[in-house]
Amino acid sequence: MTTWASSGATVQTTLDAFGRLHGFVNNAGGFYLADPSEEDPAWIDGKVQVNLLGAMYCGQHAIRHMTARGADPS
Amino acid sequence: MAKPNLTGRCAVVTGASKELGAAYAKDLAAAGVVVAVNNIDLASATAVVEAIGAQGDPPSLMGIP
Repeated sequence: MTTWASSGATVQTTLDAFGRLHGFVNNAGGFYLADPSEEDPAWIDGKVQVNLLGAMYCGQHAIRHMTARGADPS
Repeated sequence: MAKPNLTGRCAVVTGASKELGAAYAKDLAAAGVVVAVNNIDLASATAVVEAIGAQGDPPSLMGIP
């Protein structure tokens, strides 16, 4: 859930299986405690990918679908 | 507050293998929502689906990686 493509695949897989999407709970993410002076930049990159970019990408894919669908609840 | 009627609606829950995510999936399913249970590890997502209990046809719950 870290790339534009994998985030889109999550939304598309749901639409393929169920044919509709009304809600998206953007819950995925990781929490950890660390000494900032000791953190590995690659580890930081990974956390930003999941906790920030993954959530934003998923939200974008879901919002684009919902906006295109409109208010029709079906 | 009265619970909204969500029967037949569909939702994705990401990171739903444990804790809050699994609880969201469980409550949404109980409210009649068709839930796509997502986790980076498909096996753990599937375990949540099985724990909640797949119902209906087409299935009301699905694990997706």
